[in-house]
Amino acid sequence: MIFPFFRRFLFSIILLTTLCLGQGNLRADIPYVLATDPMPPLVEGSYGPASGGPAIELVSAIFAKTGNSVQVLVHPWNRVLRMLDFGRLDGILLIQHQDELDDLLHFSHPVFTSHTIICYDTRRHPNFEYKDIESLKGYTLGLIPGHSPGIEKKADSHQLDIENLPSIETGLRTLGAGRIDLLIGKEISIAERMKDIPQSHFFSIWPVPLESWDMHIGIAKNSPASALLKDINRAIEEMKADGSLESYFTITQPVRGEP
Amino acid sequence: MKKISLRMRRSLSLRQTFWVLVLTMLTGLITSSVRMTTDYYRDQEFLKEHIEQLFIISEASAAQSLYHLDIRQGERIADGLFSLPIIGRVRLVDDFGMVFVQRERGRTDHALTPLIVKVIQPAPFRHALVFTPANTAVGYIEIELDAHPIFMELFRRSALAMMMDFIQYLTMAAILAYIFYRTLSRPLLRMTGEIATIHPSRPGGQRITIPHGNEKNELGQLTETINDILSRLQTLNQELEQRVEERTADLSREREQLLSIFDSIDEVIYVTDPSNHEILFVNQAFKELWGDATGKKCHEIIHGRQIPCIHCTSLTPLSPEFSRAGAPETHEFFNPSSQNWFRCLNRSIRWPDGRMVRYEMAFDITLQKDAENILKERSDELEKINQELTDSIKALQSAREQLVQSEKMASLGSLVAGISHEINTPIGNSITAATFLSEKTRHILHLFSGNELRQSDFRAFMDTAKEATEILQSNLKRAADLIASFKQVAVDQTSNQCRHFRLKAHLEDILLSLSPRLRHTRQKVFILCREDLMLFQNPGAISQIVTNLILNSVTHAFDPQNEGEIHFDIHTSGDMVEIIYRDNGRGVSPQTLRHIFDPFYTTARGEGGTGLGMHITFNLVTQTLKGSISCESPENGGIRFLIRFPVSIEQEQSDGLKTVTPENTGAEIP
Repeated sequence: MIFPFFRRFLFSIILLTTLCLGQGNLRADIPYVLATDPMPPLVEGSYGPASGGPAIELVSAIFAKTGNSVQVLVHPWNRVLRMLDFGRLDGILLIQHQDELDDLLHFSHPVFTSHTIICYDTRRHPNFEYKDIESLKGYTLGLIPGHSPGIEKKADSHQLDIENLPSIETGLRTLGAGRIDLLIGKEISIAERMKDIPQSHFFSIWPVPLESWDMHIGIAKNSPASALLKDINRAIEEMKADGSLESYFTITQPVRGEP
Repeated sequence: MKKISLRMRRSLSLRQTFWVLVLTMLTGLITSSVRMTTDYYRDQEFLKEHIEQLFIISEASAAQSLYHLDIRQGERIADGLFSLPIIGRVRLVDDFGMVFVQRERGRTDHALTPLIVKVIQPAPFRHALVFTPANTAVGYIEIELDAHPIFMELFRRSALAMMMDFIQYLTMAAILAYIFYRTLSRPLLRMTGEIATIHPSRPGGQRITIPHGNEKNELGQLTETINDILSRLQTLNQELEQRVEERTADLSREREQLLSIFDSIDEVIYVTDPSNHEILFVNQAFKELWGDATGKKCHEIIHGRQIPCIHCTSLTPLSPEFSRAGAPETHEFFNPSSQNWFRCLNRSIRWPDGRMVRYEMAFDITLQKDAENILKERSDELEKINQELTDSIKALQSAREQLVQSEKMASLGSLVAGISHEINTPIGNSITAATFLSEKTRHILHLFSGNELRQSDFRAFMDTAKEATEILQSNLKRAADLIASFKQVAVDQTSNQCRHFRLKAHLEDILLSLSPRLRHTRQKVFILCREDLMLFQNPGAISQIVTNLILNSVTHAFDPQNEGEIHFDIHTSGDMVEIIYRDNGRGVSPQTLRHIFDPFYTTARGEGGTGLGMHITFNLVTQTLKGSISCESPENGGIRFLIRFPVSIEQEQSDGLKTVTPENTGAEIP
C-alpha cells in the first residue's frame, strides 16, 4: 500500500529535477549578446557579428568560467549605446568607466588598461606639441565616439573644434587628406589601422597618452546577465591571479608610459 | 438682361449662336475634365516614379546615417530631399522607432486646403532602409508630397487649356452665327418686312418676292407657299365678309325679337353692373315706372337713395352667391316711393363683354301681401279665442271634478245621517234596558245590605236581569250589523277598489243606507236577484250608481204624496250582468231623454239639482265598470235604464284603478 505511493512520489521528484536541470542547460545554451565598436586588433571583422579577436576570446573565457557563452556584435558606438538603451544587448564587450552610463551598466573589475593617444600628420604639423588640453586649441580634432570620452566631455567647455568620425579607419583617411589636424583614438586601434593607410609613414603619435582608461566588461542592468556580475569578477580575479589574463593582451601593453 | 433674353428669343441667329456656344462649351468642359483627370493620374504616376528614384538615390547614405546614428549626415540627406518644392515632409525613422530626422514644410491653411489634401495629395511614400555592410535593417525613410504646388500646377495647366478652348469655341460660334445670318436670317427678315406690309383682312394682289439666289432652296419654297396662302386668304376673306353681313343682319333681327319679348313682359326686368350699380338694360315695364334709366345708378332711380341698397351691396361679384353663375336669389322689398311690394329674383349672368352682371326681375306682390296681412290678423284673433276657450274648458273641468267630489261627500253625508238614524233605535233600547237593569240592581243591593232580601225578590230580579240582558244583546247586535253595513258601503264609496261581493246583499246594504231618505216617501224598492250572484267588481261605483238612480226617481219621478214602485230586475247573460232599473213615475220628455247623460243638464236647477248625477252614473258604468247604460221612457210613463257590465272586471283597468282579485286581496278593508 505504502510502496506504490512512495514509488509515485519518487517518480515526481525525479521528473521535476530533470526539468529543472534541463532548464539550466537551456539558459547556458543561449549566448549572452555583447556589442562593441570596432576595436582592431582586439576585435576582428567588420560591422555585424564579430569573427574573432583577443578581446572576444578573453571575455568568452571569463564567461565560460561562469558556465555561459557570449556572442559579440560590432556596431558603431552610437548604435551600441542605442541598442543598450533599448534593451537589445546584455552588455558591452569592453568599455572604460563612464559616469553617464551608470544607469545602464554594471562595470566589472578592470580587465586591462587602454590608452587614448593623439595622432597627427607631420607634414602639416611638424612641430606639434601637447602640454595640456589648452594646447589642442586651434586644431581640428577628429574624434571617434567611444574612444575618447574624456575629450568628448571637455570639448564644449574648452571650445575645441571637433569632428566626429565613424571609425578609426575613416579618421586616419581624413587625417591623411588633411581635413582634420589631429586624430584622437584608442592607441591599440590606431596602431592596428595605420598599417593599412598609405600615408601612415607621415603620421606620428604623441608619445604621452592623452588619457588612460581601465577597460571593464559592461553588463546591462536590465539583462539577466547582471546576475553574473559576481561570478564574472571572480573569474577575472582568478585569471589575474593565475596569469592567464596576460596572455590575451601582449599587444595591448602600454608602450609609452602613463599619461 | 431681360432685353438680351427677349432679343435672343426673337433672333434666330442669336439663338443659334447661343446654343452653339453652350453646346461647344459643354462639350469642351467635358473634354477638359477628362483631360484634367488623365493629367492628374499621369502626374501621380510621374510623382510616384520620381519619389522611387529619390529613394534609390538617397537609400545608401540614409541607411548609413541611421546605422551610425549620424544626425548630421541624416540632416544633410533630409535637407537635400526637402529642397524639392513638391515634397512637404521628409522623415528618417530608425529601427528603434524613433524619428531620427524630420523636415516639414509649414503652410497656411485656407478654405480649399482640406479638399486639396484629400483629392490631390497621395499617401506618404515609405522606403525601408538596410545598411548593407552589416546587413541590418536600420529603419525607413518617409516622404510626403506637398499638395499645394501639385494642385497649383494642375490648376494652371487646366485653366490655360480651358481658356484657350473658350476662345476657340467663341470664335467658332461667331463665325457660325454670321453664316447663319447671311444665309437664313437676313432673307427671312426681308420676307417678314414684305409680309408686314400686307393687311391680313385685305391681302389684295400683293405678293412676296423670292430672295435673290434662294429660288430653288427652302426659302424659295417658303415664299411660294406664303404667296399661295395669300391667294387663298384673299378668296376666303371675301367669303367671310359676305357671311358676316348675313350673320349681322340675323343677330339684329333676333335682338329686336328679344327686346320685343322683354318689353311685352309686365314684370320689371333690368340688368345692372354690381361693381358700380350702373343700369345696363331695362324693359318696357321698367320704363313705364321709372323711365329709360340706362346708364344711371339703380338705387337712385328705383329707391331714390344716394347709397346702394343692402341686398345689392351684399351681392358683389366676389360674394359666393354671385359667383355661382345661374343660381337665383330672391328677396322681397317694399318700395316706399311707389308704395308697392316686390319679390325680386336675382341671377348672375355673363354680359356680352365678359363681365358678370346682375339680372333682376321684380314681381309686384302688393295684393298678395295685403291678403297675407288680413289672413295673419284673422289667425291671431282665432288663436286668441282658442286660448280663451282652452282656459274655460280647464276651469270647467276643475269645477266638474270639485262637484263630483262634492256629490260623493254629499252622498256619504246622507249615508251617515241615515245610518245614525237607524242606529239610534237599538242604541236607545239598549240604554233603556241597561238603565232599567241598573235600577233593579241597586234595589236588590239595597235589600241585600239591609238583610231584607227575599228569595222571591231575588228570583224576580234574576228574571228581570235575564230579560234586560236579552234586550241588550239583540239591540246591540242590530247596531253592530248596521255599523258593519255602513262601514262596508262607506269604504266602497271612498276606496274605489274592486273586490268579491254578493250583488243582492250589497244592494240591500245600499237600501239600508238610504232608508232614512226612503222612510219619508211612499215609494217602495224591490230587488229581483239571485242570492248567490257573486261579482268581482267595484262595489263603490255600483253603490253610487244605485243611489243616484233611486234618488233621481224619488226626487223627480214621484210626487211626495203619491205611492210608487222602484224595481231592480237583475240577471246574468254569459259573463255579463244586466240590471234593469225601472220605476212607474212620470217619466221624462224626449228632449230630456236626449240630454239625460249630459253634464250639468238638470230639470231642477232651482231646486238644488246640479245636473251631474246621471253624467257621473254614465261615466261610472262605462269607465269604472267597463259596461254600458241606456235609458228609455215609455209613453205610458215611468223610466227604464238598462245597465250591462262584466261579472268579473279585468285585472288592470285603463283608468288606473287597482283591481283586487281572489289571489290579490289588495288593501285591507278597515
